[in-house]
Amino acid sequence: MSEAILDAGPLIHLAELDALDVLSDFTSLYVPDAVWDEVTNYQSRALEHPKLKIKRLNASISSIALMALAQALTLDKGEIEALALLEGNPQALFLTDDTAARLAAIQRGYTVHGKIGLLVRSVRQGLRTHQEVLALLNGLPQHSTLHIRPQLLDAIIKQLQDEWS
Amino acid sequence: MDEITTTINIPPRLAEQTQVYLEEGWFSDLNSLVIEALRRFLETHQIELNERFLQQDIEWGLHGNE
Repeated sequence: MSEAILDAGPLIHLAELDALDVLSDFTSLYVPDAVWDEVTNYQSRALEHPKLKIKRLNASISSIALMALAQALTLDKGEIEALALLEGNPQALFLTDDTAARLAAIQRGYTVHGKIGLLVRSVRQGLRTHQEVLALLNGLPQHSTLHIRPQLLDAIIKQLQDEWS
Repeated sequence: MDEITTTINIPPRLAEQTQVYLEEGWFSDLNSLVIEALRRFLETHQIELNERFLQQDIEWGLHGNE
């Protein structure tokens, strides 16, 4: 599998669901310093999962274009550092649940996905069963700080049930 | 629509960071800071965009070919 650069959201949200194993087939998971600190504050166990190949990296931010974009979209330090790491590793997948960070990454030409995509993908990758993923999605409002409109979540679950039936 | 008056609980770490902005004079009071933070968030996190990204995630999750 491939390399990924992580923002704090997917690590925190997947830890909340006890579903960090959906990241276990990535060959490397790069976590910039600021994201590392943020995750340590909220879900430190996310960084200690035995199946994950997590590496902490220092990101130097030298691009003026990146800084301008970051300011325009009000990105936080972790998101900016993750985008700086992507400049040196543009083939890596960027994993974030933040809309503005995702917009910035797309604008820079990177491939981006979030936690919901990772959960669904885990079925395709044989890491989780579809029943397990549907149960995780059903429990999202109670167990995760990721905010999704209830009707939209229902529609997603229905779409996946149809797909997997 | 009229103004809304509400009470929020700010987690300790965020409260600390907020306090720095107030003490250094970046905002005259907490109310102004919260309004600015909300305005910025709503500008950069539009609902339509959010939902489009979610749909892209599901497509990738189901049919991605990495």
